[in-house]
Amino acid sequence: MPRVGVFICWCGSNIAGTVDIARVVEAVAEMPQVVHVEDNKYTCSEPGQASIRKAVSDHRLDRVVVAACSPRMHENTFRKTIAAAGLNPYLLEVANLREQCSWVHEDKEAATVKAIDLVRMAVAKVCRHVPLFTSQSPVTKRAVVIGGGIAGIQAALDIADAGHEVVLVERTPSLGGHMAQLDKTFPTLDCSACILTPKMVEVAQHPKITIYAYSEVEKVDGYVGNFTVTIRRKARSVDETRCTGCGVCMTRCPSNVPNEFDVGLGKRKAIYVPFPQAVPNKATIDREHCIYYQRGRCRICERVCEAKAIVFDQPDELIEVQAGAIVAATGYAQFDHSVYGEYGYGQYPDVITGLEFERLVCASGPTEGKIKRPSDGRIPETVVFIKCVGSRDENKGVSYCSRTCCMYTAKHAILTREKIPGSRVYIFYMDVRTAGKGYEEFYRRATEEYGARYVRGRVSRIYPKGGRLVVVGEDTILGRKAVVEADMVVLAAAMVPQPDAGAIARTLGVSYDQDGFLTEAHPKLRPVETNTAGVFLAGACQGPKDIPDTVAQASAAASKAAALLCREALETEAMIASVDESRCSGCLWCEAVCPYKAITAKTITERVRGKNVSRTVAEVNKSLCHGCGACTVACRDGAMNLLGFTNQQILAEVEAVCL
Amino acid sequence: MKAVAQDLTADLARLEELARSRARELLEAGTVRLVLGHRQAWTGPTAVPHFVTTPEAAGLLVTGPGCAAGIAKYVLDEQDKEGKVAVLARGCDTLGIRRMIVDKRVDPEKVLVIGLPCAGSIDPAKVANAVGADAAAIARVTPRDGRVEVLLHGQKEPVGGPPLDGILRDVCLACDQKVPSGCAEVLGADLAVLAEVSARPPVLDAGDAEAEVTRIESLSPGERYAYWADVFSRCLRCFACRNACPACNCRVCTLESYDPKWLGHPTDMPNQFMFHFIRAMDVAGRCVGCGECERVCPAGLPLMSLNRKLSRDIRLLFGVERPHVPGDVEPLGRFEPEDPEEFM
Amino acid sequence: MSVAEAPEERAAAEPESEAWQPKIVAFCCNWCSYAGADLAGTSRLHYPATVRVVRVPCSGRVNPRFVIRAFQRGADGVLVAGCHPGDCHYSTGNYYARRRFLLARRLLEYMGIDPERFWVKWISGSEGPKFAEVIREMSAAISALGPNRKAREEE
Repeated sequence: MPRVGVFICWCGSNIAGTVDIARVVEAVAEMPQVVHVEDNKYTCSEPGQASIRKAVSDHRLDRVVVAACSPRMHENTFRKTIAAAGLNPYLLEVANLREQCSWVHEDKEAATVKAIDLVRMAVAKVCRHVPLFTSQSPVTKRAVVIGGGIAGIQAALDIADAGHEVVLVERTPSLGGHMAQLDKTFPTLDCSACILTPKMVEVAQHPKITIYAYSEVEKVDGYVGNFTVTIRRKARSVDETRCTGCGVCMTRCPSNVPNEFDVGLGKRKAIYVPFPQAVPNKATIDREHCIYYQRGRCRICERVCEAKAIVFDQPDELIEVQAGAIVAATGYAQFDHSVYGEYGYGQYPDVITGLEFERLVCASGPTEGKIKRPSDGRIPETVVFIKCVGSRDENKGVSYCSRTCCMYTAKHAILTREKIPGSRVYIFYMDVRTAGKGYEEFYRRATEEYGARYVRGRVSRIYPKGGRLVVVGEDTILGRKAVVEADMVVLAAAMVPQPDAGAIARTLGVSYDQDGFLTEAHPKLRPVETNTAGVFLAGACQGPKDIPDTVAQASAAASKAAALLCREALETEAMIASVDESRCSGCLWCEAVCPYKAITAKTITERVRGKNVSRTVAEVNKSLCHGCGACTVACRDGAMNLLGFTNQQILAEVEAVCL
Repeated sequence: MKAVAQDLTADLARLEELARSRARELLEAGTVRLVLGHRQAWTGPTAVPHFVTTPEAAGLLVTGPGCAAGIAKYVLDEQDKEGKVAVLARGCDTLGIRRMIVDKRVDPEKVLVIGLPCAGSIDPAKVANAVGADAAAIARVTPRDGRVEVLLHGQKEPVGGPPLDGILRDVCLACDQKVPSGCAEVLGADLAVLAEVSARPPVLDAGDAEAEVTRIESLSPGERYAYWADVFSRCLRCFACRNACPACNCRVCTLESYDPKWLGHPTDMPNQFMFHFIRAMDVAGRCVGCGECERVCPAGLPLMSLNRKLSRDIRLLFGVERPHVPGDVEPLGRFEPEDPEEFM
Repeated sequence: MSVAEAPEERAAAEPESEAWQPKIVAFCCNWCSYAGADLAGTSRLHYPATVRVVRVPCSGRVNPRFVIRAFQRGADGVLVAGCHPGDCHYSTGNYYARRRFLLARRLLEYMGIDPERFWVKWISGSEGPKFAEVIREMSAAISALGPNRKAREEE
């Protein structure tokens, strides 16, 4: 006979304000199997927990129900409490009287009746709880960091400095990400490449970091502590062990291709190193634009390469890496502003995005740092910046604020005024959000020191006129139209996730939200973990952010990953599937539906009619099973059950919602 | 409806001889220890299952339209024992055996499936109706010249009966497995008339076979509930349907489970409902359409209306062309990311 | 054994007490819909107290037999809520649930249970408002249908 103790929480007034606790206590005391019931103001507090421990001992309780806030809040807390009292931690059930009762129902009578029902359900379920046990699984002391931008670089360095091996995977030919494309970074106006390159070199030279550039993660199998990550090393058509990065091939290659690094504003060759400070400094052949691959002729690079590094028939290579933790640092992309007809559908060459502007203003860019109009190469006299292009626009763009645009637009304004003396800079804005350290001061510099003119209002139209662009907007503060004849318009396009963010999320087994950003485990308290154990998030893939926040988050993710990798062994899930071999028919329909390949066939031998007979049954791998229960439903005869959510427990809960 | 031009009778007789001699051969050689087939019933025109363990007993084997009973399920009982079992299997039997093999309940190494082309089996009620007699009065039904001859008890001469197609069971009229496939060997493949008859497409297409399903769907919810309440009021919970069904092959049946106790013994509507709901859902996507459940039900319940409903829904919703042919993974063990959502 | 009438007839034939409220059993998956329900709570959104949530790890854990048992034991409506297809925490659980419940609801309908008493909804962990809205809509819809008498055990 189970001896159930029920502990009802007031949660201050959160529950007690709506639910009549005294009535619940009275009703619960009548329930069969309940031998003790008490109420507490704050059950999760130390005195509250002490009271539970004392009651377990005084009343020889062997099952505990805590009727309080959501089990998603404190189930683990109370499991530890009863474990300290000597009970198996899984002999606990939590009834949700707060998030799903007192906080959502105004009718006190109905809420109290419901609270009693919820406790009854929990009591019925807990009576069918049995002690559950975890087991241990080993941890591979290696992390895989996906994405070689500043987030991935920082995370890789921190994990490697903590003493663990790191494999860093980057899909473009070089590390650096978007930060490598930037000229100066706010609020200090540090040269981006100057602060990034040393870190890139540090990664390259770090004894514990292995870089796979021009590679992508194709598949992730396994589970926390024991991931198997399949990486596709795309064929560069260049032998990395031989290539010295001398660049002669690039000077002789006859093809001219728009350069992705310059966001299409400049050109590169078909064989290329993306930028001078590339790490690894190895050439790559873009097969889609290489004359040899497309038409079967040329091969000049092969002839001039002294290191004999060109390998035209190089295949992709698939590599399997074992890892204990994964950090996703896959970064962001720019919103495609061609949905805005009022800004020219992306067809006016002098209407560019913030990232394109960075390439113009960057000394290593296509114009060697001179701000020139893409259409005719002239230096612009008047530049208009438009913020919130795509951001904060539920109709045609994204609903969120991209966080970085106010600062980089102020920065662009400053750079324009510096590089083009006498230029006029107008910024059309809805708001100015400059909340970081030194940010407000930076914005003030842009207006006060550099004379950037901020116009509060939106732009309704841009049209060409005599080689210039007429920007028609509104000045809402003055209450009148604001029309500017500009030579160049820069759009602060929203920061969006990578276009294949959904596919990335599915490969990693993590969730993503409606905007495509990977979802953190808790927005406030767990910003770098995901709901998938062992997978962490860093940088803009989790949400728009600037470099300081990215670096901070990357270090945070690294610390979580390193803490995981430090452990000798991990505890496996206790609430896993379990096979009743006496019932199991061996049909293995459970195996077909298991997402983790946790079920295999096992042969057992039994004595039947005086003879030893072998038959097949299903077997659950304790380390692989995550406890989803799909197998339990696929099993027709009830041989498979999910511990902690058994058929009997769920039926008991349903029965307790009585007639 | 195209009449049978030549006489099926001779081919059917020849098939029976082939079956007997093959059975004899296998038992004499010791290749198998048991041959499953049919023998004439002690009374009536239909045949009953026959378990042949000696070459002599093979002489009692019969084939032909009298063989209505499915024999696939017996293979399951034989799994525990040593040695191999041969089955003189018509199309429905081969599907049933394949079902049990895919469910890993039958070891394909332990069963030798000998295919028999089939022209269909008779429905005694239809025969009785056609000749205006009582079903119990029918002693034998023989196909001849495209029709059947019906011999009644106490008569010396048979009377002329209706065309063969007119008295076959509905499941046979809808059958597309009359030429069995996936067998180790097929007897009588060269019997021309039988081959031609068994190669014809089913008389009843899917729409016809599912006419009853459509009819029930067109009722109002209240009428539907009343219909099933009436049907289930006659259910004895005898488990004959479960016993006969090749898809119901679990070692320990969930319907008899005490822990968890999905349903109780009383034959009230809630429990009857649960019984048939569970069985229909567990068989969904796995039913081979043999109709044994309905044939063996002592209360004559229209159980195939439940199975056909789900087979049809699986076809319509999930694009499974022929749900009654066992595949490697059953429809409910698979999904498509683009599965329909209807009401969700 | 009771043979029930069609809903229209039932409403006329059975005068219900003023206080009758539908009883809805909701199977909610821990990672999405249960979290969404919690979010409705932290956001203090209000909905009728007609629902009793049974927490499951995944919508794929919900056996259609639970749904029947709920109706047998007096539920007037049953909701199964899971993650949006493609976003299951266990990657595929809700895909299997989707197929199974597509069939189960059709079978329920075929056997005469009002299909509008059985709902399946995809509610993510960030969709607190959607959870509240679904419960409000379902309570109203089930109220309109009246108490379920079909396949229900005698008191």
